[in-house]
Amino acid sequence: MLRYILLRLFGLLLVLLVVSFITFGMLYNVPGGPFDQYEQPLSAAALANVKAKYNLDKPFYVVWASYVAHAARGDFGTSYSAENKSILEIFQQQWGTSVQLGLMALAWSVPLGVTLGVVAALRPNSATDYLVRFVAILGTTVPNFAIAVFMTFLLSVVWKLLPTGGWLPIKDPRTLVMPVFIFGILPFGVLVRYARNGILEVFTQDYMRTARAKGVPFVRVLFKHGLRNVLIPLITVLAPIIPNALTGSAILEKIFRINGIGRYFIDSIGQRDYPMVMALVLIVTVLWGISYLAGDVLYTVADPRVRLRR
Amino acid sequence: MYRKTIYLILSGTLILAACASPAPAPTAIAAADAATAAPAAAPEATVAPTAVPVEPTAAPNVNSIGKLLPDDAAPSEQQVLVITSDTQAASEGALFMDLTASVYNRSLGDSLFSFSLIRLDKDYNVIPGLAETYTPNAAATEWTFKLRDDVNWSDGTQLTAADVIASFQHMADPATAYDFSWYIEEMKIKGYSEALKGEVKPTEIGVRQGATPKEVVFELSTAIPFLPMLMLYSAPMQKAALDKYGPTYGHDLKTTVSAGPYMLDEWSPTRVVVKANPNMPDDLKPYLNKVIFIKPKSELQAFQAGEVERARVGSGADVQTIAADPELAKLAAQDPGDMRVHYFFFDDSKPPFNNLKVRQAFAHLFDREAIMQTILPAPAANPAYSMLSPGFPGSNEEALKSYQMYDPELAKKLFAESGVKITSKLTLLVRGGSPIEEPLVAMAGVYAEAIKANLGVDVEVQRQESKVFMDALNAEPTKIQFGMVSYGLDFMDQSNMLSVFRNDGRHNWNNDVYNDLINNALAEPDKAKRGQMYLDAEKLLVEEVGAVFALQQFDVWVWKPYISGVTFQPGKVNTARGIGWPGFSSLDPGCIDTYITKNVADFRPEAPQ
Amino acid sequence: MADSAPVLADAEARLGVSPAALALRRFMRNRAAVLGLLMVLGLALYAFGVPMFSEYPATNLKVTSKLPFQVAGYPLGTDIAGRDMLVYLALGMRTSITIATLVQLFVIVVSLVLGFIAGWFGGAADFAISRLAEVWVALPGLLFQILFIVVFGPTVLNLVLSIALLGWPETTRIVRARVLQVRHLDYIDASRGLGAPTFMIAVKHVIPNLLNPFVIAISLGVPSVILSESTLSFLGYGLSESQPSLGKLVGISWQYIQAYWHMAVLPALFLSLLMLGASFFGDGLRDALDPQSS
Repeated sequence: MLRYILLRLFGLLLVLLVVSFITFGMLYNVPGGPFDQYEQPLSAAALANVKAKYNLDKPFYVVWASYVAHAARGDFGTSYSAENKSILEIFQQQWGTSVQLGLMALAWSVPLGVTLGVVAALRPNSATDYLVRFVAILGTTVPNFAIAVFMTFLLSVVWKLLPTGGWLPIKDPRTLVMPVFIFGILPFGVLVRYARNGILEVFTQDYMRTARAKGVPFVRVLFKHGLRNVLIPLITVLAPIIPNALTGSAILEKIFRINGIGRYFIDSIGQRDYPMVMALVLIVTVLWGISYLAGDVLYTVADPRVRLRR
Repeated sequence: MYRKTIYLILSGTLILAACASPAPAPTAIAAADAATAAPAAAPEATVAPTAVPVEPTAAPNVNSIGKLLPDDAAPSEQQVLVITSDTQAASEGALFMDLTASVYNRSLGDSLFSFSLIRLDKDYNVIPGLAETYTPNAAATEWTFKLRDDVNWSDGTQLTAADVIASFQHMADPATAYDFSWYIEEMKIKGYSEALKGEVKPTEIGVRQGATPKEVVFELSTAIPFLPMLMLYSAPMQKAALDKYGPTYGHDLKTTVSAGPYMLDEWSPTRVVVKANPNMPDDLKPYLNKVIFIKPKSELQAFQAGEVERARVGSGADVQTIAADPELAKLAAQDPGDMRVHYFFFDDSKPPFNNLKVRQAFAHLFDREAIMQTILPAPAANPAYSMLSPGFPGSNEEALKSYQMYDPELAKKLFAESGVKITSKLTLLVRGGSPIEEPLVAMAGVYAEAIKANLGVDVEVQRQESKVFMDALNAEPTKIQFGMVSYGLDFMDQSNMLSVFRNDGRHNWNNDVYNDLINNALAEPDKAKRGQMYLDAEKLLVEEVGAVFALQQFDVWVWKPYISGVTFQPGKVNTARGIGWPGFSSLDPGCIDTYITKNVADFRPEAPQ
Repeated sequence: MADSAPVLADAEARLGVSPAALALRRFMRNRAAVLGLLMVLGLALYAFGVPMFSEYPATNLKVTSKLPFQVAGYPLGTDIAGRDMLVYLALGMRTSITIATLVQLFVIVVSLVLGFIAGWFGGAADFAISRLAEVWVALPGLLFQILFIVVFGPTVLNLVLSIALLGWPETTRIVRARVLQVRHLDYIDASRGLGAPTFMIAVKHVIPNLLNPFVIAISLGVPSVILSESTLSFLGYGLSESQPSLGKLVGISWQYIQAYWHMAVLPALFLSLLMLGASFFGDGLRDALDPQSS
């Protein structure tokens, strides 16, 4: 097991190297540099000074190599657009909001999704089932920004119940309602579907029929066999959902004017803020890699029949 | 980052207006006592508040540094203002508090520290700042700025020429890589450009001490009659602090020092507080005790929620929001901002746009009035017919209107006369990144449609990321055949706005007559002659369609109703209520004479913390 | 699941009913699937039909002094630039549908070629393609797409490429797995033994075997392409104004929701309907072709 984990981590390291090389190569060679000015260009000499100051007067692979060497030591450099401020400081500031948003979205969508999925499965084809499935399908199919448009229109413009944007968790909790709901609706839909299918599958199993025929109380059967059958695939489902929720949403942060990391990422691309973009890409890649690894490892714990192999 | 990153400076043509001030002036250009810049403050300035023994109820209303407040001002403890950062360039977490350290990486609350050598009055006239006089030699190639004797640093040390010299040397040092160096290059200081290239040492540039330690002499490589106006960006850093702590000394309470109306009180990446500087002469002391800066993501919303007391109405949608809310609309004030003009331009070196008639035909197809009604309604924009909008020195808008007036019939006629056939589809590129990008793109779409309907030429509108756009525009030869872009002033002189169309400017409408007019006018000492040269040049620009001028963009701000001051009275250029360009900074009279009025009690029971 | 499907189809075939007819019967019984199909057809009809018959050209820009949705003769009003929303929305839908189709076509071709090479030849080719796919999946997708658009310009073709270039690994894996599966079936071995050229073997035997998983992967992939394209457009890296997509229309006009709600709500509504229809249809198709999977 340990060997497997180490191998996977080593693989992740290789992926990071390749991804950083490709990303940096693309960024560096796109038209427009970080220090081009909006109106009047700096004189060639002045621009050369700026480039020298930021170590950008060399070919991209040299800059990349030096970047990787620094990053390996935990030094991700300073952002071009907020000079003298280390990338890690910016993360603390910007990522906090995104993490809040992500955690709040997961906090309602994961338990509610599983519960309602189970409830829907217990009464297949009932009104409850149809309603839950309908919301789930909306969540997994309709884009976040379209839902945001509908909700803003109804709740803010027509009924004036909620503010159109902002993120003031303490001062005005109403600002949280729409982003948290909309950000959670996709995981909600996915979980409803998985939980419902999982339970329905259990009901068709022989042991289930046997247990019920033997008169074992329904709820006990559900908890003993049903939930276990639902929870194991849940790990696979959550592996992509969690990193996705924690890395912010460029779109929702833009619509609801939330100062988070998803939006900052898009802005940084526009400003050619190389250190900022690189650090974000690397950290997101690591988060995804670790999350999948953790999912696989947990899977063996939850279901001893599964063996890990490369 | 987008607007106001570049501040502007006063017009040379306005310098003479400053000379009309009453104080004795040793030379024609030496200016008046700064007190005349703030007439409201002048009478009170002589009162010594603490020396008057009166009943407590009748105690004069003085602020925390002993400056007597106007009659309608709220009590001293209410003299606190919460404001969004003035320039969108200010970035959260940046450490530079001085413009001479960095322009594009400034902290919140920047540019309230040291005054520049000169200041502006409400009508954008040059008035004395740290320098009480500024005197050229006969050829205007050498200028002497004499610093005020009564202005010291906030730590009590004397402000001297050495501080100014050290600041300019800092901006010339290749190691600094000063991000606003193109602007300083416009001053034509001897050796400055060479220093940037590393050819001469920064210490060898033409900025030196004059006869006394209070005199700074600038040696120029050519005559610049409007140098004082260019000196709007010359707020010195303290030499001692710069040598000891480096250019970010301003953001740290232990090392900060200021020669301006305010000094640092509190600094964090997202919130900066400055307090009144007691170490200023009375005429330079501010009314406000404190100014708190924050940078909310949505300024207008923060304003509505009462988090800030002034906010920018930035986007096209913000403008619509204001229009839909009469209460909010009452608080809105329009100011000309950086007098930004949006225009369409062509690649004039190649067919079809090397043909004047084709360009003229295109110039008569932009229906400004209709577009302003729906796409970008007032107060956000005005139709523009030329490069210098009304209010800008030398503006000639009325006389130039007919050259690019909307007239489809005339356009068709001109196009037919040109004999040019355009069969391929044209792409009209629009520069992205503007807060009013959506309305601008829609506007370009309407223009494209008019071209198609009247001339039968297919035009596809495409927006482009601003970095890519500028890269393509500045390429040699340019990669943009037909585009839309804007320009806002850096300093208030015709030479600035019109330089965009010089032969070495960013467009390839290369007209030698125009080019000579612009270049010769730069050093022309005769004001009337100089003005005429610019008038001729601009007429040529419009007539020969260097560009199709579309609209002038305004800045719109909302201000809480309990803020007042001299800058809140309508002026000649900025007729709106509230501080306009160059913003809430030590460059503007508003930094001194803005105050909270008595009616504040109806809105906020106590001053924000 | 993968193993049982051919067996089952085989059994049904022996009963005298072709698998296609069975699938069709299953599909028609699925109400959601039929509804999805009708929605997609209806929207496609609107998207391609309305611009043809409208008296206003698709990008007609006509500024009036009236508020956008009060202009007579425009059932859905106009946008701030005076475009007829009825036609403009149809145009946006057309672009969205076109892009989704082109991306899927591109993905089919690329993954057929790569998956076939990897699965059929194995060895170094397989190793290279599989590792490439692994790294590719780890690439920051949105960044890649944005930079692609920035470098090559926002045209339909470039948008298609930027999305399709990220989509191939998954379908390539499916192709490779299927190729590996059928490679050792007796009849393939037999035709190779008879000296048939590799290409012919592939065409005759492998591709038909891929049909079902492909149809499923692709019909389920359409909504995700539309979403990708909308996201890019929404963030300002999408198509130009004269060839808008639905995502672009929402991206442009959501800010005007307070002033002119129809500009924001209508494109979002049409986009949602298209996505729902495509997704119902895709699910139904999968259930019909591969009943074991659900």
